[in-house]
Amino acid sequence: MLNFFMKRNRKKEKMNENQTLEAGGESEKQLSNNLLENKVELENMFANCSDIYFRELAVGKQHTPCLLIFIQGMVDKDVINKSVMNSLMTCQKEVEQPDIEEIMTACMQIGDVQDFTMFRDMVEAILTGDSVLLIDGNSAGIRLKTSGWPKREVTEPVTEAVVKGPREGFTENINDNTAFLRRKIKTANLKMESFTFGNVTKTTVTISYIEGIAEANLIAEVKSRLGRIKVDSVLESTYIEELIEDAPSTLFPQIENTERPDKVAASLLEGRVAILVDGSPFALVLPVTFTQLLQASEDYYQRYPFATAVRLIRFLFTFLALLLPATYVAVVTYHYEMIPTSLLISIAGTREGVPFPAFIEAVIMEITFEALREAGVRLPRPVGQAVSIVGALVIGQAAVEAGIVSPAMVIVVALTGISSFAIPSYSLAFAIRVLRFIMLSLSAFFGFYGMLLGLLAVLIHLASIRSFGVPYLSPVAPFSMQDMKDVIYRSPWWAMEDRPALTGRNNRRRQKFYLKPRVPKTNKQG
Amino acid sequence: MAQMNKWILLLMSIIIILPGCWGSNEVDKIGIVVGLGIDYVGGDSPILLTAQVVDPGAMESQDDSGPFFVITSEGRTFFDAIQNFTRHYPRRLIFSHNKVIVMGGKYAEKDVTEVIDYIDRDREFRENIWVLTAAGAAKEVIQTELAIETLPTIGIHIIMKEIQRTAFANPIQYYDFSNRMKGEMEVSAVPLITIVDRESKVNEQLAKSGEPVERTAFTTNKEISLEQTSIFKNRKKIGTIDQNASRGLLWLRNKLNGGTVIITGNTEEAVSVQITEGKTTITPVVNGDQVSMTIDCEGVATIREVEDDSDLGDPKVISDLKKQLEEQLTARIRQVIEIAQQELKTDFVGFGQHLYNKQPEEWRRLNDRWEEIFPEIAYEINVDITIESVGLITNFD
Repeated sequence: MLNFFMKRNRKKEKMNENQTLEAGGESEKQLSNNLLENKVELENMFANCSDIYFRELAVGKQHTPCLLIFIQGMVDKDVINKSVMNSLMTCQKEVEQPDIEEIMTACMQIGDVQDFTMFRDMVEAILTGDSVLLIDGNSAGIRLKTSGWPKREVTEPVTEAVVKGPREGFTENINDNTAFLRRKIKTANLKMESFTFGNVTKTTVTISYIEGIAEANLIAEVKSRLGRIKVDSVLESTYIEELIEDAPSTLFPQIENTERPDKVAASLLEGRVAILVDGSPFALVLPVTFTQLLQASEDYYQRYPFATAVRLIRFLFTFLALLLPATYVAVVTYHYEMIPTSLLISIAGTREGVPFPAFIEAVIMEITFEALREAGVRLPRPVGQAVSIVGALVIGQAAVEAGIVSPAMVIVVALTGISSFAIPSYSLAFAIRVLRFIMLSLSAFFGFYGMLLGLLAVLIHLASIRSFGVPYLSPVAPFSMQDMKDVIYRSPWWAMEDRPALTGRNNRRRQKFYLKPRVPKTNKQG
Repeated sequence: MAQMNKWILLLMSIIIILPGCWGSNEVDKIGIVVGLGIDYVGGDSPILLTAQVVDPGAMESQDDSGPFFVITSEGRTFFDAIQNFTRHYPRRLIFSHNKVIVMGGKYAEKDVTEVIDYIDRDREFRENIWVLTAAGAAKEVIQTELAIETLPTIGIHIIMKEIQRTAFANPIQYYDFSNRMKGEMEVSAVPLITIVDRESKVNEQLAKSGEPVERTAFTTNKEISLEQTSIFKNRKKIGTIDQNASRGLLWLRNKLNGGTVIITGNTEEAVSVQITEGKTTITPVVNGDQVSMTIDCEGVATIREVEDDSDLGDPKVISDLKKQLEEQLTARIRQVIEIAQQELKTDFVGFGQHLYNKQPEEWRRLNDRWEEIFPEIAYEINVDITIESVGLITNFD
């Protein structure tokens, strides 16, 4: 049986290879020096592609036939008109017999120009939005960097908004994204290594790190994990995330997703590595620990006492998001003696006449809430508000009045829903949302006993995960007093003297010691 | 690996088999008992239990039906009676929120061993419930309504917590009661609840003074009143002491947190004094079979009300008041000890306990004959009260 499966898999693998080769359509073909031949070849290749454009020109005094090829919409029209066409037309009178060298050096009013001889390079150039100039009688072509397509404006990150702090977020354009980082970290040690992934999509993926801070081992590990990726497409950074993470079957994210350039920059300065994927506004940052997922970038932009207080509230609400419905159900079904009498009486009063057991009630309400939330994401913006009002009214008011759910349950579900938004990392919040249902079932069947067992299992699981060699629960377990400065409380910046030990051990010292501001001595006397 | 999987399977099945949801009981399927009364009725089922059960729906809807109902059950034993509740009450009763346990007069005088044994053994009853005795039937106390508090036993619970401030009774919690009954002395003092028709009494008095008042719909017929204290010995109630003695007992037990004393000196007018702190040290002195006790009471008091026009700015007046106050307190304490030594011949004032704590060897020697020795114990009471304040004003005019 096992053998059979393996055979089938092997067969599949072969098939996959064939397919990808076909899709890539690559060959080692050289350009011909006959323009017509090249054109025919290209036209065959781009048959049924209405967006490709061949512009025939005559250049030079001899009116040598040339061909400008680009894909409409992927090139900047202004650049084509003003720089390319204009320069070709003006040099017409001066050049006798145009060749590649001459055109490139003397004619082109454009910055990024390359020549090529391979057919494959030409196709790639066209597909990435550059335009290509072929000249009759030359077995080479010129690649003109004319790419320019509609882009989204730089906007505030939707998933990680802040009150205080930079408001720009990554866009879908990788060049913009790398520029964001470069603008924040102005050192030649900030390295950007680009790779292309996806046989069909040819997506640029850039690894970013700071040499001298990030560990060489980590960089090598990231590269080796990326190296084994052979896929046909990479459309979003999650494609890469799922292909390189340590424990693929866990609920918990082991790589951080962020839209914020400042967060990535801060991570790079801690010795972590970022992966940027073209077409995705989400950068991957690794390694990541559980506590880092509970830190918001605003923690570092508000003054530290406030940041610490907010962080404590966030910890509390993370627990509530995970355990509140489970606790409520356990108390109401098993452990009435654990709450004050008056509270028990009120709860019992609200539950009077509710047809479902607390567990069923909780599951109905939680699922409804999740559905409302999901619908809220999908709904067109103008409709969204109406639906959320209807949802709140129907679920909250009408269900209580009809006696289907108890008001106490509505409070519990609403509070739980709010709490899950207090978790800064969307992917961690998702893990907790799913675990909540497991906890709920455990406590409904086994009371606090089951809930505690579940909690223990989660804890053991968390302790067993690693993210690129860093234990997921560090610096709490394994414990590191030095790194506790940024876990429960956020130390003031003058006390953040060292980088985190597990990623920054190459270059521990972040700043001068004893930077704590104090009253100048002269003032004391006066 | 296979070995490990087996273990995991075993553990999983243990989780599922051992607890499980048959222990579950939705909160709307339980009856929350907040007060329990025990009476002795004799016959085949001598134990009569009266439970005050919350009606959560009525609490919520605020309609006319009361927020609680009183159910009764008889049985051969305590446990039997509890089980018999299920014969006529549909919900499972839970006792973990019970606040008060009241023992009826007859039951207390018979024997309370049974209830102590049951509550000690049971996992639902809390140790900090208040123990009370009723002058008559416990059922009457359980079914008597209380002003403001929707649940009367919750009201009793609050009274018990607050009454230590005014020092009218000796509230005792179950763990304390149980320990004392099982301890060296086997004596305990438990507050006694009487049911009085205060409304009629007050109206009668008003009528007598020439200002009669109509009875209105808002008035209740019966109210609870806490004045006396029941004394238990060998798990039986052997007697009661009155209000003044109860307050003296608080001094002797070093449980005093406050209290008022009305000083009626040589004149008709009285001075009201509030005691805000009190501390008692009892030192036993043993000389052969002769035992004597030195009782040192220290306290702080504030003058709250003065009827005559004596000048409180005068230190002599204050020291005079202090002297009268101390005399009055000494009399209270003496009264308790006299009752203990002569009337009840029971050491509920705790002399034996002090001897046991301070001179265990002597106690062991005298333990067997304590019954004979106790009535003969000589004692000396020294009360020292500091009058700290006279309030916001010194004199009225």
